[in-house]
Amino acid sequence: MTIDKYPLKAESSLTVFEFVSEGDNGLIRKLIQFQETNQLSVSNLAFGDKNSETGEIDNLIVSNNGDTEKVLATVVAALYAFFDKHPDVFVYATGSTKARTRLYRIGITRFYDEMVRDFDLYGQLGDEFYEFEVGKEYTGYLAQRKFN
Amino acid sequence: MRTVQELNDNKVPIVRIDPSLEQDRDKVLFPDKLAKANEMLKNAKLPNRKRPN
Repeated sequence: MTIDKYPLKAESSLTVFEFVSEGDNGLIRKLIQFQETNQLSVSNLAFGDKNSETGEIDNLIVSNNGDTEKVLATVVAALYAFFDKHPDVFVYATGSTKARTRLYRIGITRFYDEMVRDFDLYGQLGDEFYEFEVGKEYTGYLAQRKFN
Repeated sequence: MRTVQELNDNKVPIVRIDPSLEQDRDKVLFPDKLAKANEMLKNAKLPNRKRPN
């Protein structure tokens, strides 16, 4: 991926990542976690801000740090790293709000051409998953690594 | 040897392992998001799984 992204730090299993967003509102620590769900081998991608002073995590805050594209590129980079370590897992993502779900769609659409070469991408409608189509709204998203 | 730029352009990014993050490894850092994902996936029919060749 050639789009600018932030350096990532992670723990050794590559399920928790941290990076620092640098923008209009200063430095904001971001956390990404790939969480085991109740579905076998399906991990949920979650990310939010970490308050540097209290250590509390806010997954609803809108940072407005003016670096959305760079943040999204960094989340996609973490996805590549996670799949490198956990190739057999599905990664699921849904927003905590409609706006956040839309943000995921924007992110996938922005990096679609590159991601679709490496991942099978699906959109959720009800309880079904369909091949992801650019421009279509979904309630959740699923990615699976390609092996050929 | 690859240049720093080439390394940075890799699809699998260079990730620095930070021992201080090990404490977060087994914590659920975003419980609300996990609960929502579990609810959304409860009756979902997943696509066929692909396996490494």
